[in-house]
Amino acid sequence: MVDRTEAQFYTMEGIAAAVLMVLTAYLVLGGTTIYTPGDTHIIDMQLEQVGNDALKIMDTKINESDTFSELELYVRNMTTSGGSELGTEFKKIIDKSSANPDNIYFEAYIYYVLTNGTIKKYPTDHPFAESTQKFSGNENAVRVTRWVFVDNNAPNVPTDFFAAIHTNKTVLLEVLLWRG
Amino acid sequence: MLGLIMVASMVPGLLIGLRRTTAIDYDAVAYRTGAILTEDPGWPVFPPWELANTIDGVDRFGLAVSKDSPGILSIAKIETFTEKKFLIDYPNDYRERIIFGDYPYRFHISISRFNTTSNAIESVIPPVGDTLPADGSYGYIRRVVKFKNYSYATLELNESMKASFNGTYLYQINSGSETPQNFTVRLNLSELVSKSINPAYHFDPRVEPINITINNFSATLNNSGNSSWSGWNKNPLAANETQWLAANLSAPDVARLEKVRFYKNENPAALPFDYDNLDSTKYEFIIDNNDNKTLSPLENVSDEMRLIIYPGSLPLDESTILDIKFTFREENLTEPAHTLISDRYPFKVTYQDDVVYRPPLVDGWLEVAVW
Repeated sequence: MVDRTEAQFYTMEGIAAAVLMVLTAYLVLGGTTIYTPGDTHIIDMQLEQVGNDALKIMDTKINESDTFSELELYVRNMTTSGGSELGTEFKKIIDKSSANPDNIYFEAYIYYVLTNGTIKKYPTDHPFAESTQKFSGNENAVRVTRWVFVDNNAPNVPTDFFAAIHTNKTVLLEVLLWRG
Repeated sequence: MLGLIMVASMVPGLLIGLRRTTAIDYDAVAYRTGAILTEDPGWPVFPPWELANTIDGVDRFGLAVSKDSPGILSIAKIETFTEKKFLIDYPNDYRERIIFGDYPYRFHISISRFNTTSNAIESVIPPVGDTLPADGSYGYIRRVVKFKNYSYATLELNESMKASFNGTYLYQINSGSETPQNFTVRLNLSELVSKSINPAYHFDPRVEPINITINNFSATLNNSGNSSWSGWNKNPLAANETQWLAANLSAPDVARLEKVRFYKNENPAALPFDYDNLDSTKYEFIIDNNDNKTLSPLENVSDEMRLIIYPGSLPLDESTILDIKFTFREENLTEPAHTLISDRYPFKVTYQDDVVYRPPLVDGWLEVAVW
């Protein structure tokens, strides 16, 4: 009969050491990083950058002596020619080449607030400006916006635009962009 | 044994990290490069990097007019972007100053604008970098920008600038024309680059050429073309006055420009400058459509003078007052003065009255491809 307990201790020690090694190895190897392919968001970001740039450039006065930037002029005349002019100019800027146009399409809306706090969309039933290809809902669109200043003498605005208080206003111009 | 089996099963996890990554994010690098070029004016800002003599004077390329006007690119910076003086160790120098990072990226940067006359897109400068890979495997960003072209000033002279307006003309005294006729053009930089105007609409003599045209010089000549002035045939003459007619001289149609000098901040001493020799890197002076004149020309002027001073030639800062003084003196000192132009009306180069013509900002595109 073996009366000594050393052998059992050796075994337990051995098992404990093994568990310790395995645990360490697991922790070390579990720290590997996994590379994933680039996110699709970068493509969205390029589109968003082009859209933001285009709105910013249209909102820069061409001469210091101009009263309004081109974008402000379009929005001042929103009920008449503003929409179609915005559409043409925007397309020209984002396309870059008229001979070989890029396949970027867009849709623009204007949002303004009435004095009672209601947010109105202009125009209500069709886009303010749009490209030839219409938004069908299936495309991955990015949204770019710009606040545009409208002075209180703006000639061609909807009837409820200046209702109650006739002051300068700021409207939100929102453009949806997608690759067709 | 158990431990060994478990460790062995974790070894493949080690190798995952060593598998080749799908792609370095070239799009992100292109985006960063595009942002640096369009939104940053580069470093150093003053003195501007485009005036540095070698690439060592450039810490970072940037094409924007200033930090306060991102998206507005300066034509001065674009044109010096690929000047020979910077191309000694191309493309490494460029990579260090636009793209950054240790990886040897290849790049292609193109800047184009819409030409309203020809209705076509044209390149502002030839593209910088290697040709694009045909398979399209590169990161890309397109930025929409506006270009700020050079401004210039035009001064139209007229009869009201003659000394002693209202019909009593200055006559030359008999003892000689020691009194030269001076005319000063003043540029007050604190007005021109004032912070109250957006830098996109500045005429900044520190970074763009000072281009001044003085027109209609004949309106200031000491003649009377118009009989109601009775200028040079004034009657009676005082004892010390000469008259063209009496001296049997014909009324002048030119005046002799003796010298052009620069003064800074109303200092009576002229700025040190090589006035007597031609230096086409520093200035150009054209009299009546004849170029290659020095600033001590001793030439006759009949109609127009044009002076172009290139940036970096004169020490200017944002509060300098620069005076350009034109001195007219005839060779024959006993003749009456040929021109009656005077410093009673120093001409200020300002934005008012369109003295400075600032061309409209032009739409354009900057595209960066990195691979």
